[in-house]
Amino acid sequence: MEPNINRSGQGIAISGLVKRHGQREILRGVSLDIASGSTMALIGPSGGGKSTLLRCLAGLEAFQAGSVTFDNKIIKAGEHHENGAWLRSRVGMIFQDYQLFPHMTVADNIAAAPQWVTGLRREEAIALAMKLLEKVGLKDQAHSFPSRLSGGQKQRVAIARALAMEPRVLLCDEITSALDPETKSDVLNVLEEIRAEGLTIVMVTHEIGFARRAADRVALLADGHVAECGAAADVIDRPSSERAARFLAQVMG
Amino acid sequence: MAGFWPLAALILTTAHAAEPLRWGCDEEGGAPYCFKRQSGAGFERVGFEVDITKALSARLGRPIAFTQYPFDNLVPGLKKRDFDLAMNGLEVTPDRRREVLFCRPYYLYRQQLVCRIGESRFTDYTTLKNTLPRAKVGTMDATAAERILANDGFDVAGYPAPTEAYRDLGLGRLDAVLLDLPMAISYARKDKALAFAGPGFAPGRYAIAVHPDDTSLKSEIDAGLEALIADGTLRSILDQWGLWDEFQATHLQAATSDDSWSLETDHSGENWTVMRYLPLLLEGAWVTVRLTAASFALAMALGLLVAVTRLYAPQPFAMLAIAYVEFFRGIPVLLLLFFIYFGLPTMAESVGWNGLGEWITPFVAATLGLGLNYAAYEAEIYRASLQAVPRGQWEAAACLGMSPNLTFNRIILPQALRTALPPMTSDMVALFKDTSIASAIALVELNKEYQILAKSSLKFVEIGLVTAALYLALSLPLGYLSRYLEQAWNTDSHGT
Repeated sequence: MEPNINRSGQGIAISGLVKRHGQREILRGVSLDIASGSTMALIGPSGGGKSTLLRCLAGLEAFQAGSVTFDNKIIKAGEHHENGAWLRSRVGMIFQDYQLFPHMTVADNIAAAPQWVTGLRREEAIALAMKLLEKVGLKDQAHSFPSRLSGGQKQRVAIARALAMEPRVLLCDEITSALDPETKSDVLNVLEEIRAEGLTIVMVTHEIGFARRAADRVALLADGHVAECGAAADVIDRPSSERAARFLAQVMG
Repeated sequence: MAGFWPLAALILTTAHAAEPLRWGCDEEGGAPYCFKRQSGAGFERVGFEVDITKALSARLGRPIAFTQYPFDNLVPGLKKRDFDLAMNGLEVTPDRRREVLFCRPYYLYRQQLVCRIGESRFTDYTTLKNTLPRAKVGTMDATAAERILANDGFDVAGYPAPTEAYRDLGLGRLDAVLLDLPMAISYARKDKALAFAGPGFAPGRYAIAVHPDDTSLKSEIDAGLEALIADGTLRSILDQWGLWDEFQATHLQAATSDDSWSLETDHSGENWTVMRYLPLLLEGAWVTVRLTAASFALAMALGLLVAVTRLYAPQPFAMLAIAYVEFFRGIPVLLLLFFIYFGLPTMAESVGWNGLGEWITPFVAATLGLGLNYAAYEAEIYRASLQAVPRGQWEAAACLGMSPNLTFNRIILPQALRTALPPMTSDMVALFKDTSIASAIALVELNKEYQILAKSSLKFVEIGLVTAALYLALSLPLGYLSRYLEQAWNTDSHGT
């Protein structure tokens, strides 16, 4: 079986999402439409709810009201548990701090889930891992342990690991924030490549320049609301809201 | 004024007379020497030695005050002057004679073999030696009987008290018990399941010991005892406790505590060569290794179960896990061993379930006791190690579609075990040394084998050095193994 890495993406409709931590309301009715195969960048000040929104999409956190619709599968508030398996078969996630499995080689990190979850034979899973490592330019590191890799290399392995489960949606949570500029660009290049293959990508980022170049649309989240959402160039170059203008002025210097 | 001097003299004399002699004795040793017996609402101290000290006290005109002291340490305690005289079925042995001064004997003991009723394999000590040369024979620690048994090559089980030895004989854990006649009379004669096997043999002397410098005290006590013998007091005391027999009648009058008493056979021998004791020590070391492996395996398995229950199970179960840790960390291992080895079979018998005693051998009891105890410590190590694995590892695995079980087994546990390895190894070394506690329930492991052999041969230093070398030879590789594993794993798993 030749694994199909280039499966087409899936559209996401977020409607009235409310997320509370105790008394604190982190998301106060977020609605966003993300077209199938498009890239959405979530920007905004810290504490604005970007990462929380991503974690709700990944099924890592419950939300209290609203719904998330993947194509025609509706996930309502309080249902993320029973929909866990469904979500995981379609949504991959990459973290700021990589979360590679330190006790396994790079190749095993990637082959683990295809082998244990999908049920590929070990040789098949390793072959898949090698193919993905080639894609992210790390084939020579297949038998290293994660501790031997630089941050950028680790993040590229994490991307390969997520892709191994053939997700339709890839969620990226500040995946370049911990990296130095040189290795950052390696990771961003890989991401652009994946984007070209038609996956739906939702990324939380502080790289405004990258967001402008690589995202189709940008949503600016502040205080648990979508303050502005539109085509990347429009939002970044010509923000219409005062809140967006203030944020962009700050981060662009 | 005239009345002053006589008054002062009276006070001084009284002061001297009132200064009590401190008598070191272990009342846990049991009947009929000196023990506690229920009397009305409380307990009173009784025993033939209590009666002798009372008579002696009256004879010397000085009170004798009881001082509780462990039997094993009576000789060192005497030399430290924690008390003035030691009297507790203390046998006059060559090694003790070198340390302390013995007064004249007050009782001549012999060894009495006891078997279960209906025993058909042997009838006395000689036939036991011939038909069952590797029989498991119980006795008490640090006694002449233990020396005789070790010298004759029996599988010796040394107990801290006679009750436990006789009970294990009754439970079928032993083939026979060899103890001093007074104990056999006190305990075994009353027990319907037990019988005397053959006549008493290997006579020896019980005598009061004093500090080697206290020669005047020795003469004082000697004179007192002679008087008690002369006026028949000693005989009537011994009679009252069922201890007066033909042997006392014939020999006690002339008995002395020095070499001139020829009825005693000296079992401490020069025939204890390295080639004779080393195989026995190695046998003990093998028991120690097996006990360490078995109890640590139990501790690891149970500890993991407890840690996982505490971290991931619903509240009531998690509370049970916490209770387990607190309970087993809080009680002494020794108590646990005694409970499992002696308590459980008795409890089982009381509800009509016999045969548990045979199943709970000293090895099984020691494995359970040490395993249960160390499981509490291992559980805490595993809990801390599991919690040290970042939460993000669970999330990353979840996002790859791994179930919680799969994540735990393949992602979390392997990392936690690496963190747990160094403290686990040091626990294992500690357990390795703690196995010596098992000697308290008559398991002959390395430490116990040393005690038996050293006391039998009097080669305390020589055999002690060999034993220490064996312990080191076994524990050092453990340390190396741990360091090696740590290094091998650390090079692979630093950072994330």
